[in-house]
Amino acid sequence: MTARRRDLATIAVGALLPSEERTPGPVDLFAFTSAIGMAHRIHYDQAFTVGVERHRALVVPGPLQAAYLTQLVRVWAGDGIRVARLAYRHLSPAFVDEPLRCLGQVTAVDARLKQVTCKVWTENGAREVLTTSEITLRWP
Amino acid sequence: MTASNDLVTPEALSWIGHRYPDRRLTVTELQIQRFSHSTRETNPVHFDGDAARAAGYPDVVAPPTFYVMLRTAPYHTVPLAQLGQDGYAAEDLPPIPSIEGMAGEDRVELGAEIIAGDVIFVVKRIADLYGKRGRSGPLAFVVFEYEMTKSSGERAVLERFTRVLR
Repeated sequence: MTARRRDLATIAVGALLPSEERTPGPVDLFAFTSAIGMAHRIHYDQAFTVGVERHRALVVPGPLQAAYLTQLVRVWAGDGIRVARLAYRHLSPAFVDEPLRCLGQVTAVDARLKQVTCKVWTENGAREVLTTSEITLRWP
Repeated sequence: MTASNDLVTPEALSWIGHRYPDRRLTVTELQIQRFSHSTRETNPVHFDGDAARAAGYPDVVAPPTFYVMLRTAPYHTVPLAQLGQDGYAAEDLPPIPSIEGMAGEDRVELGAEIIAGDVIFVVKRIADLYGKRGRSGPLAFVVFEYEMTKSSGERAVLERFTRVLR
């Protein structure tokens, strides 16, 4: 099976990754929170989250956004490209059923180390940055 | 950084370098599949052993952010009566009189990929602890370091995850 991946030589600093929209619903939040083994109510209990914690809706777990952003770069890069480094921060919370725009841009290309670094982030409908990340990929 | 403020006392600072009990975790194909479905992964190497082997892996391979499960589940797998009212497990933290905790930055270096069946050795330490003055008052930053190693001795994950307390 031939691997399909982006040719490192064609990648330029500043290149924009194709953007994607993700809208996690209550089932996504429950499935993720359960899969990582926690029972934090702000991700599945709406009455508690709104009434007690005073959020406007269920909160999307930060690491779920990080997973979406990691998928964005991996799909863009292609088969067999490894994630070498990943760093992310949450600036503002994301809420259930609200579309998240996932965006990315190449910030560094190291032909010798065969590594590409991208800045990737999620934005809400008001174009506010919610989670921002830097991901370094390594070509084989 | 070892700046102290009202939240970060010398006693709290003495927790820098504290090593939590080590953990040995068995990674299963089912855990990888559940995590992968929950993030709407589509790459078959994260679900199907035949697809993973065709791509050169010994078995189903975990996606890159799977380390979050290994860093979270062990500390939240406690009797339900021990969970807080919000469903979050009480953390073993340095003595910091805080009201709430938030996730700060997560910085991860990924090495050998995690495969279904792996037994992962997890060392958790407090790598750093410092205070800052935020807009709404003093903040305490607790930097946890997680080192996750495969039984082959290869390092899978080196993570520095910061909790921000106020």
